[in-house]
Amino acid sequence: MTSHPVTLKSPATDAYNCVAYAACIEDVWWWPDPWNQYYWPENAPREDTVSAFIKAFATLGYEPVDVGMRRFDPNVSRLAVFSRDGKRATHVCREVDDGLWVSKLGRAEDVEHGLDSLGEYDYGTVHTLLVRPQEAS
Amino acid sequence: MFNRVLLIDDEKNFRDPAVRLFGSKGFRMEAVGTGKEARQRGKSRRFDFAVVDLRIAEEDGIDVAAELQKLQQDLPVAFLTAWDSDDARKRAAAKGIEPFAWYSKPLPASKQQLDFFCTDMRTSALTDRFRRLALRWRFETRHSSSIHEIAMHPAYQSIIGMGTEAVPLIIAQLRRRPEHWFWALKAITDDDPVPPAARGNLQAMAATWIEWAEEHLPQGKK
Repeated sequence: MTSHPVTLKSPATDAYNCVAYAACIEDVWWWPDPWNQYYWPENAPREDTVSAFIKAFATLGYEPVDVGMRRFDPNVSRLAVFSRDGKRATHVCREVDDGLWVSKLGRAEDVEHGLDSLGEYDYGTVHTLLVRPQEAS
Repeated sequence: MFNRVLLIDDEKNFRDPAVRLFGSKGFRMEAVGTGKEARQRGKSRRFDFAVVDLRIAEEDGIDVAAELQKLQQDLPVAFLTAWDSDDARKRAAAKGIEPFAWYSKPLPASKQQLDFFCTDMRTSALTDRFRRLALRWRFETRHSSSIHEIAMHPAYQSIIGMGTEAVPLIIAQLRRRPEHWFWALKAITDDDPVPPAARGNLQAMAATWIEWAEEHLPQGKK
């Protein structure tokens, strides 16, 4: 599969981050900070581990699947959780079309990209894929 | 306490009285007469800001300032000069040096003028250091979603290290646009007025802290 290049889709904003954007939220910054200053789903552990991210997105109906399952399915919504060290989550992106993903790059812009196109942003690699039926909300 | 100053001036007749005067106003002064000495001091210890004579024993003070800023990133610099020179301003700009002030020699003579000069110099240097740190922090963390990474950035931690004097500067930034200053504000003030419902909503968080500042900061520092 040809990886899509990174394409800017919006101006930069501090209003939301990649985690919120993956959850289709654009007015809140999601992060499990230790001082409880930012939004994080109540039933998920307040830590920046991949497992805590999995539990956070489980509150929205997502569940993990084998990272090898990269086949596009229009009936399934997919998210990818990135990690540098295999433990701490650094980034989340959302699939919008076959091989085409969208991300919010920290405080910077929203972008469209391939799943393997974010190398320059130091997020590490895809650690976990999360899926839920497309009709769920 | 933001008061460690490196003064670089080759005129002993100016340098020694300046050290005494500034020292009497609470600054911890170190003074040298050459660019070489300045570089040595810059390598061995950290300063809050530097005041550099434009002409130091056949060296260009602008070059010395540039080298000091390479040694100490975010170091605010002011230039001393006996005359105002457009050429010097252009040379500084060409070398990427943005001084927080250009001061004319001689120093103010009266106590009242000197008090005002010292207060203004310190405030200008502090504001410039904050601006430099904030710029670097914004740029180097712009792609991070992690509040931990954003808050642990060395420039952000340096701003926290500025203590309560940073709070009015942070509030002024929040008035311009909501940014991730909330960790710093909590770390400095040991307070957090943001209600749970507003967590993560930067507009609402910023508005809450601006309201907090109206109540807690003295007049003139809101």
